[in-house]
Amino acid sequence: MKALTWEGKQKVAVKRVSDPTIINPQDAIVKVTTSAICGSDLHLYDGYIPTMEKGDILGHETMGEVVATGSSVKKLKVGDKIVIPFDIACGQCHFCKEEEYAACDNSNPNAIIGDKLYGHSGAAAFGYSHMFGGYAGGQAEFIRVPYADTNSLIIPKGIDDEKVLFLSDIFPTGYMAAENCGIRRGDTIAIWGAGPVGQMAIRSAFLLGADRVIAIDHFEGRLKMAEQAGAETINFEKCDHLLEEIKFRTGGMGPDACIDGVGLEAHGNTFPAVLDRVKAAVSLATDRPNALRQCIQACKKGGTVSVPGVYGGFLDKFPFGAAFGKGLTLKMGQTHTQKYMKPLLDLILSDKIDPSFVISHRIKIEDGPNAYEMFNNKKDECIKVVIKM
Amino acid sequence: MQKSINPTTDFAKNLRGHYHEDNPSRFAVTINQPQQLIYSFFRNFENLSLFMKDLKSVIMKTDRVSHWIIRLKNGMEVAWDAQVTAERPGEMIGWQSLEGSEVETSGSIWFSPAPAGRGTVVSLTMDFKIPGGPLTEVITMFTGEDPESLAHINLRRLKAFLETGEVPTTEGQPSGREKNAETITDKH
Repeated sequence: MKALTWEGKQKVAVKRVSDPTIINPQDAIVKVTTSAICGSDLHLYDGYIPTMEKGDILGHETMGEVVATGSSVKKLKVGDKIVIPFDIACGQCHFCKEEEYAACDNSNPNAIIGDKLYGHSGAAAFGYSHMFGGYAGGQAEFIRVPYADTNSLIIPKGIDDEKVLFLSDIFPTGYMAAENCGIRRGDTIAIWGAGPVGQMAIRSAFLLGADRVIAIDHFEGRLKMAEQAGAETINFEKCDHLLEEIKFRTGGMGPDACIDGVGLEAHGNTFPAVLDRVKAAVSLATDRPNALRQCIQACKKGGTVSVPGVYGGFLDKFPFGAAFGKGLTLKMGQTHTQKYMKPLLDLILSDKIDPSFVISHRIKIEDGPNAYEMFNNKKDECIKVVIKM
Repeated sequence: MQKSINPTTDFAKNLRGHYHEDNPSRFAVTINQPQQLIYSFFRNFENLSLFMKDLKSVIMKTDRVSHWIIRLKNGMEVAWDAQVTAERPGEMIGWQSLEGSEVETSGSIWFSPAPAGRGTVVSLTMDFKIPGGPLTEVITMFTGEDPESLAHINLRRLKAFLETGEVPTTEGQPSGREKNAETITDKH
């Protein structure tokens, strides 16, 4: 089969490799119909995530048709059309039973790395480094899905792939980020990063009853897309005093909750942001938390800072005093995708939302290396690339 | 006065029982299965090759003596006999290799109920020595694991096997590292 493989920092190839086979009894093999490139794939592309190996198959936003099932698969049948969550959960451990699927205790064969690095390892994920299990990803013609009954959502026949593909990651991720804000009537939610996750978070915040949403980014196309959902917007590059602006617009109170939808590669033009880039370059700190700092600084007293953006390592100049002084609640973590897929599918089927609006580019797998480069440079206002197999 | 049983403190006591600082490899996990089931599974040592890394087989010669074979990554096999040295049915098993074995190994495993029905706490210590030295390096080199990680890795695998019926793996999946992988486009 053809697959997109990581070949080093800012190097992606299309390779012909062998087809996946059933390895464990709960596996299924899926013929991929549509896959996407995620903003978090760019963290891999740029070499921000350790434990990638040359030749790893990329991709964690995947859907397709089941073509084979292992002997212990009960629910899935050959021919089922499924969306595959990006995180891999066993469905049986303490955490899965609590619907904390991203904390699954059993899916990661390399859990010892996370155990040692973070104290406890999280779940495995598709195509996202060996620390997350080293499972081959879905930017390929076929994918092996472990614990297939847990890691799948069956899609009714006749639904366009593009409408449901993002149940694999960005829609649940944006939704959980908004849910973590504990939104109440009258609330204003500020969202840093109007990329795909930010866009999903904006719409989810409104669905969950937010009064106002303020989206912060520096790409006009993304800000326009945010406005279309009813958000107010701030282009931080055209705004000399972002924090004052947010405070002014929220009547001096600050947003009730702030979402950092940017993560570890935040852009920004403040001095600490520049310093972060220097430190990351010389490996003194791994992450560039500029958006997170602003979230904490901007947030209302007693408010919530919700972090769906990916972080991997250590933060520098983290304004803990502000977080403590204002009594903030910090909520974060990888998305428990399996928990959200079904209820969010229902929102799609009842026409409450159609997540396909984020798609800006449709490509063939052969164009993958170009697409990564373009997405990374945000050339042509690229917001979301979908690979049609 | 009626004697009350406190599973939490019993479990803590059990853990303390074999927490020696000089023990090379120890770990504990909480497994979402009943204590008796886990104990019975483990006590039939022949089951251990279902999940233990690099363990090819265990044969029970008698109820207390078993024959162990590990396969190293270079295909070499190392074997020894071990015997049960201590046992409290349902609660703990201790074992040790017979004197004069090529591999000197000992270990103990403890089973205690976690509080409030949250499964069973299983703690394991493993000691692994090769008299004469060099073979330790061979084993470390070919299993790819340092002896300190043995209990950690194997307990995690035991937990996965007993909770899900399989041990997670990516061995045998496709990758761009395959010998026959062919590059179609590598524009960088």
